[in-house]
Amino acid sequence: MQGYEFFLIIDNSLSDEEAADVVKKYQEIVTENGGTVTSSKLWGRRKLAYLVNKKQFAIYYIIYFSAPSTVLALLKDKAAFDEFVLRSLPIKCDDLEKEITFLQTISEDPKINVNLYLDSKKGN
Amino acid sequence: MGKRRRRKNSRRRNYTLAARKKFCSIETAKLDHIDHKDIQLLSLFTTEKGKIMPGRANSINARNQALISLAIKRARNLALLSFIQNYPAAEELASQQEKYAKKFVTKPTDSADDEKKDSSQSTEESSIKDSAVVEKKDSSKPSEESLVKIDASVEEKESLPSSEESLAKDDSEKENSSDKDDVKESTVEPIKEDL
Repeated sequence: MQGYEFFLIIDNSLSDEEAADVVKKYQEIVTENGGTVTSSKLWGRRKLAYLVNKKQFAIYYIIYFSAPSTVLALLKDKAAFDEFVLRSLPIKCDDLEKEITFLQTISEDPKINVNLYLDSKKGN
Repeated sequence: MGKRRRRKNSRRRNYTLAARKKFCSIETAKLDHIDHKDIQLLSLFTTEKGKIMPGRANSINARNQALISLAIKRARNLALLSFIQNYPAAEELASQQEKYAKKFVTKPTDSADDEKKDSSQSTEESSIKDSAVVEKKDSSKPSEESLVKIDASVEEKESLPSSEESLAKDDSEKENSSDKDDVKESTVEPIKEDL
């Protein structure tokens, strides 16, 4: 059972409730095929760095789960034919709890690591 | 060939300077976790145009540089970082498009003029007059002496078409080339009628 971090970039025209319904379908695929979802978090509505399908804003969802590797192909096929999902990307994770705490720290203060890095350079 | 003798006071490596050790800037800052979600840290290691900087620029270890480059490539696919920034400038692009637009517009006008002259099927005498009229406009000196010079120049060109030198007489040269095509067509057409 490998841990995974699955990004979902969803169309901005949907409301928060409609976007949550889209994410539920992906959670069901994981649970039906012998996996366990630890948490699914909303990272917020963000401005994209470049246009994706002629859209400038999007909703970012992240699902943390642990499942066998056969699930990934099902998730990709689902996301490819979904009209509300602009992009998706699964990434391997060894420690899921470590990254869930890291997401909380960044969402509170996005400049934590930047200040650590710049202060160490000043000392030298 | 004899053996080379080593000099007594040859250049020797100064070990006092070489022993100074380099430290990785990320290990000194104690950043354990480099992640693709940490955009503002990753943007420090990219140039103004969005390229990944080499590890020697920021004195980063090879192991950490691999983690940074992997995190930047993931963030680009998630549309968190851009592949390209500040390139090309909008004003430069507009000026380039105008230049290319002028090139494609001028070419079809020249071909349209040739087609009209082909349709008229002018004889050699009329073609010489047409060439004279064009060069009068260029020279802006409509005199009888110019006509005599042009008649001489046309005969020379027909005798030696390969030796065309002057760039200023491009218009006259194109017309002469079109006239030769007319002559060839006139020779070919009656043979077809006989068949």
